[in-house]
Amino acid sequence: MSHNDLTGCAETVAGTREAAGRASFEGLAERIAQQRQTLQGLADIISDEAVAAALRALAERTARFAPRVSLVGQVKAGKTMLTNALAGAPGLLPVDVNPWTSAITSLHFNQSWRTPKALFRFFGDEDWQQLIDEGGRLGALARRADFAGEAETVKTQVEGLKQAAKDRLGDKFEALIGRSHGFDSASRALIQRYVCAGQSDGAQTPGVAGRYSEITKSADLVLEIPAYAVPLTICDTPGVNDTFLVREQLTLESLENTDICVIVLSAHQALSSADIGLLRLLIGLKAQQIVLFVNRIDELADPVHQTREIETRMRDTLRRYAVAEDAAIVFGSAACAVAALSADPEARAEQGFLRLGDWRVPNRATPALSPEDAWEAAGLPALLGAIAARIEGGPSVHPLDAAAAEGLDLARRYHLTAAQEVAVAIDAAALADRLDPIVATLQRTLQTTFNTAYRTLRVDLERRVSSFAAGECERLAEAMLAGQRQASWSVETDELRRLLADQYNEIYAEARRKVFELLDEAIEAIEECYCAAIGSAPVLRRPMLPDVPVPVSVSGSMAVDADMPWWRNWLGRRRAVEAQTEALRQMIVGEAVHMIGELTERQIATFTQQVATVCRDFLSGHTLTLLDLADTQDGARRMEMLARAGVSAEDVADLRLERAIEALELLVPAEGESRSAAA
Amino acid sequence: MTAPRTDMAAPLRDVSPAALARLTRLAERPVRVALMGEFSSGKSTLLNVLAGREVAPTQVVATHVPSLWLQAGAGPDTLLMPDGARLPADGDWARHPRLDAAAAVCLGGYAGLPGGCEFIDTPGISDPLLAADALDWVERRADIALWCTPAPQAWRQTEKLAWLARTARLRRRGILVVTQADRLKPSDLDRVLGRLLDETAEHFAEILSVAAPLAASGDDGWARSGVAGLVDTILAEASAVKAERAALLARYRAVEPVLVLTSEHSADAAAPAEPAALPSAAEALAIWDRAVADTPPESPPTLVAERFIAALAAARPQADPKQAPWFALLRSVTESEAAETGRLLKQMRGEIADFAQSAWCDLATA
Repeated sequence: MSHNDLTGCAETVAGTREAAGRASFEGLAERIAQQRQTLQGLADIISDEAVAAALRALAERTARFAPRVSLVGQVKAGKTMLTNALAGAPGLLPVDVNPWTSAITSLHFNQSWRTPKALFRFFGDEDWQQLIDEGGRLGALARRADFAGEAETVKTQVEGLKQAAKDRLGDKFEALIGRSHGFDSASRALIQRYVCAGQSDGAQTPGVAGRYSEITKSADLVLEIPAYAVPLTICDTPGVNDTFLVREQLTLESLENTDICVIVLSAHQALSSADIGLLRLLIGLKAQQIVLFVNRIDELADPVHQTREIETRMRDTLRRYAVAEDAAIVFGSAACAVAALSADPEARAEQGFLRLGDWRVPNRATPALSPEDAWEAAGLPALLGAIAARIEGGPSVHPLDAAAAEGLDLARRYHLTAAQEVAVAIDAAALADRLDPIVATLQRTLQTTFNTAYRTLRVDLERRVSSFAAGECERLAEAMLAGQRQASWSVETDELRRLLADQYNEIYAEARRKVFELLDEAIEAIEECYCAAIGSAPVLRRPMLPDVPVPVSVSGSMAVDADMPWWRNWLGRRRAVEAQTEALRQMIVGEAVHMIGELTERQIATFTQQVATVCRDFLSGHTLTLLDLADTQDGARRMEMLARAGVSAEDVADLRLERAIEALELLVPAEGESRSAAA
Repeated sequence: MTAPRTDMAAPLRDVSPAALARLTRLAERPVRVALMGEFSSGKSTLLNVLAGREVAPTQVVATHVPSLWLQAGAGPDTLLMPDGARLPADGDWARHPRLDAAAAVCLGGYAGLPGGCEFIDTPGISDPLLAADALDWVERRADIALWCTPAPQAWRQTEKLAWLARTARLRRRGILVVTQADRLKPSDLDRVLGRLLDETAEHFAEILSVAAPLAASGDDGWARSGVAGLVDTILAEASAVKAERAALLARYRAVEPVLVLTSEHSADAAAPAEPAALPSAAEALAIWDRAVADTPPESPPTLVAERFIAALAAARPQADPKQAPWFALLRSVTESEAAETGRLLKQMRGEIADFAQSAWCDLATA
């Protein structure tokens, strides 16, 4: 089967999706197209092969910009059905009445460069071993809380999974572990073999649904959906608040690289305490990255009034808990969207869908819902609009901004070498002598800056944790002495998360400011070099620095979270006040050590590396340009270069170059700052 | 789980006639059924169907009213406060100024409910705008629990945790009611029920599904909706509760009191109110055993009781031991005529122990 089978089912109403997708992502698509053309155009008129190649690479990076949208929520909230609706392919991923989504399924729209077209990764030996030895992170948490019983539950669940897979796969099981299966095309039947839990239907015949379900860790499918006009990745995750604890862990791990997080809620129970818990776990994400989608509004008797009531209540709740207060709230129905995609008009005749139609498309042509009406009634255009607005206006476009900034810097440097009258004779060796210390100094000071930030962060975080732990122990002691009902006492873990995330962001922001200063110093020195070389200093702009990585590790569950299964029992244990508070202190500190480690070791390493790379590329680029200047004082040689590039008249080329520079200047955010830093 | 043992060979427990009368009254009280579950899980809709009329407003967003207690007596309607006080609330109880602080609204005139039971509808759990402890108050007063879980999103971790946190006594008489069954196709419903049977059979006495809106439709709606089956199950559980109470009551014998406990603690015989921060029965037993061990062998049982009460007071300075549900019984034992110290001590320990595991424990709470 060709992978067109996946989307073929929706062809009848392609027009619907076409309109919806285009309208939402038009702005982004335009931006991408314009930036790509500008960069490509620049590459075409530039004779220096290295510069042209770099510009072409930037153009490609621009074209391959694919923001990632994750759908998260409680079990059976309708994430998978919504994923299918967004893919315009109702039966693409199997939807079941019982929770089954255990794998992270990513749909990559319009990313033809990706191969294979369908990739299924299996749990590796390490994954299994960790899951089985410790019951995964949850098991480790249970152990830290001294509740071997819970760790056993997780372990039993994992072993059950492994056994089911072994029984089904026999000898092949060992061979599959840690591997992946790739396909040039994907069909629904294929997908079902990997990500559908088939166990409840009894006897299995080889090769059918659910064959690999227990061992599939992730699925990546590439789809062409021209309606979206841009590359986009939609990520379906296992539900949280699942009695099957292992699945939840996988979801949280997948959120690190997400640009937008759509939290899918059920209209019957919009924002339960489990949803609040999820939002708290997402504290590391920025509010502008979160969209709340209230699903199943087709099941409301009076959607007009009830949605208004639900929204008021949701806003109250968000305010009360101070989480995601500015998040967009979108009401909709994945079921209605799926009906919109159906070739059968009967599918759209359900009472609930018609009620939504009366609300959202009151002036439609016929009482029956056309596919377009149903799509509108389902709230999909509103959802896509909210997603698009948040991608365009948020930190997600950083990679685009960075590519534009790099292109601009390249163009300016080239402009200098190609168009600047060289006023002073330059000695290349002397220039190199001047440049080398600038580069060396920046490298050294960057290293010092990050070392300082690292040490400060570590010390500050540890100090915050221990004072937090001391405060909580005091609170617990007070509660115990007052003979309060302990059952309702809990550690303010979201407070700790906020503390850690704030401290982390503060120190990174400080480090960023310091890097800006160092870069400015280096830029000044470079400008002096330009003055010495060509008599005037061009205005150089700082390169774009990568965004501070989101502190996702603070989002993980903690052994002392009140919703952990053992928490009530732990509290109920009869110990002397001192023993109980000491046990609590050790648990808090033990949990925090893990988070601090992640924040400082892993996240800082990534960020340091990225910043160093950006700074190095920037400096080496200008160094090369300056050295080129030293080499190309010879006017004849410059003409020769231009001729080689096929530019007939110097001034025409200059004009085009200048226009391209202007275009890029508009694309790069002011002052080299990223959008998120300003937000 | 097994019913509390009533060893026929065991000697009768002697209590005063007044205490026996009180125990008898409590044992004959209507059986209480609590409706529990997450908010918007169909509890109120189910209650309306069982009551045959609109008792509670059903809404999409969670209800802000306290627990609703449908009582068999004629009334009047009252607000039952956490400290045991009752405020008259005839007329529009929903607008009562103290509604927010009430533990329950007691509505009279519901004598004709299935099995003669009283029903208590609880505010749903998992509502981030409501306090989480309503179930603790209700579970001490209920004999049977219906845990309502909506078929399309049945049995999530939050429900499992909340249910497993209930007392073993209540869980023994727990019925998992899969509500909103009409929102799923019959084949899908079967698969959901299959999963629930796998996951929850050990936690509930019975699992069944109900489609409340169908109950009033057509001649066979009552049966088709699953409500008829649910009522049968409630009746069976209620009979079991009554049999258990009768067996417990049969262990007592009225005798005229001769011993009088002189401790100041005995002075006040007021009805126990909220047993807020009292130790668990297990902890109380440990304290009791220590009191027995620390008292010279020939001392009268009253001395042990006094030491026990003093030790309890020391362990929980904030709490009033008189509020312990077994305090009244303990007192009635010491008042009775009994020659054998050893037997008396054993009976007193038995009273404390019983409260850890039997439905009897709620008899002392109004």
